[in-house]
Amino acid sequence: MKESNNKYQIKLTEEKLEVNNFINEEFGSSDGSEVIFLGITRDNNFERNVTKLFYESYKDMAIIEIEKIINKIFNKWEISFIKVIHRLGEVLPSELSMILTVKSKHRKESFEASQYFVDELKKTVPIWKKEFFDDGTIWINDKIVE
Amino acid sequence: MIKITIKFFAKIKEDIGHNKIELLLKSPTKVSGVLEIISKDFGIDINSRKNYLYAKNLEYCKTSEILNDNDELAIIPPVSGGML
Repeated sequence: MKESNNKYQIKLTEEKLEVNNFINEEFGSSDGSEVIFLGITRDNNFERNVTKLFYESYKDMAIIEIEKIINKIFNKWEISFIKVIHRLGEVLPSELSMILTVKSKHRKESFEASQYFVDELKKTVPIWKKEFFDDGTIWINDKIVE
Repeated sequence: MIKITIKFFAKIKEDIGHNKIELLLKSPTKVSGVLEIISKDFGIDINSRKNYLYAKNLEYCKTSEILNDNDELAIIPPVSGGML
């Protein structure tokens, strides 16, 4: 699934993310800053060995919720372009889970907007992560709260 | 009769054993009412999962929202995209 226009691009994909394919682009001359954030799958969490992750998504809604975050960013900072690619399906340690780039005229805006995006993504976007350990599995954040 | 579709994801999908079900109802029903029906049918008390959210036709909604014919309800467990 892919949503894009001249201000942003969103892609949720089961394809392996290759950073070289992603950043090997021509740079424009109007922006002085491009912040690139790479989310890398760790091989450990909760002091346990992680063998793989599984990302699941409610894709249609995830795109809508990501667009809402992006619109807030455009309202809050002077940003010229945002691209986000989130991996779905099985992801192995050392593989990329997410690539985010934010372009702006000056660096402060793109740094702040990048931090904001990653923080907000974890609050509202219907993407779920299951971690596989040597001795079990867990859906992250899904603990029974009564 | 009205027909609604209910989608499940992540842990609740595994607990229920389905990613999607269709429900026929006599009349428009609140999300909370539909949750009661599902909970009874599958023996899982969804209402007790206080950190779960719900979406009607791709938008987050309250459990007081009314579902009509052809609406889609999604049960949204706590999200966890991106990185820790």
